[in-house]
Amino acid sequence: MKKKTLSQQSYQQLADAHERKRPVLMNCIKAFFVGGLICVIGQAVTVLFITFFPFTEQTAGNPSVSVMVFLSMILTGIGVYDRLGQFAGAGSAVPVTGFGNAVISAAIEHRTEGFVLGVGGNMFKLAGSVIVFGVVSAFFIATIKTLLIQWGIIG
Amino acid sequence: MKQTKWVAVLMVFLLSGCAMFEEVGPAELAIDEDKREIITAINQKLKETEELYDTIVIAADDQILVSYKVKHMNRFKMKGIEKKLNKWFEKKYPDEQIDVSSDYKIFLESYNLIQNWTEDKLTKKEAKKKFDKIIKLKNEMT
Repeated sequence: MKKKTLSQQSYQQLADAHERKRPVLMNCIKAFFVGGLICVIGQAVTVLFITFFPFTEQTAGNPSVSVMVFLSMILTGIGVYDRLGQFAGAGSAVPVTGFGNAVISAAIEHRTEGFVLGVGGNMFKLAGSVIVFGVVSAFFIATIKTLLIQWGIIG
Repeated sequence: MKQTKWVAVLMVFLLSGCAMFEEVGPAELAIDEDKREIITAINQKLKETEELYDTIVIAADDQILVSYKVKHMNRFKMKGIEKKLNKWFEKKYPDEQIDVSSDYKIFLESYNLIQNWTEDKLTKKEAKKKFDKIIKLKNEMT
């Protein structure tokens, strides 16, 4: 970083004194509870699938994840999820529901540019990295696991 | 007004957890009578296993299904418990085809099967068909 001149330093001091402090702890608590609440809803969906449909605990994971993403997409579309995101921050972005939010909010943002180049081209602008890193890391993990099983190190 | 609404929502979430882990006690069912002895022995063994509660053992002519719930704090050791049980079964009953499952769905279906059986709603054939369905569900992969 470039060294600051004396006047810049004094200005920085003044700015720091008047800047509002970020309520980090409060944000963390909010994110914790809202994120946890989202996960409780997800668990409820899982239990619903187990109880009323022929899914086991193992297989119920996939449909309930997609239901949660779908729900957050709808909530983003009608503008509820943005409010939640404002209040909870990372608590609403870290669970899978954040993925649906990222997809739909990008789609809404670029709606004016047309369906193909606007919505289609920019839909995965934010969520694309999730898919890319998810697929890549899944590929490597699966490769390692397959090799380990082949060599008989793990069952 | 707003506060009571939130409290109500919270209560629903908290209490809904209870339904899944409600204790119903051990149960066993022999669709074919000649397996009665084996499943009683198995259920006895499961009762002695401390980490488990609510055990169900169902036997048909060629297959035995064992399902149980694991106590909450022991759920981290679920795989180990399953392995231990499998080993025990292999040693004690090497000729039997025994399936072990800690899955809630398997437990639920088995429980329903036993309930229907004791209420005489099922014929032997229907019960067997249902039993085969549960086994199939158990072996299903993601």
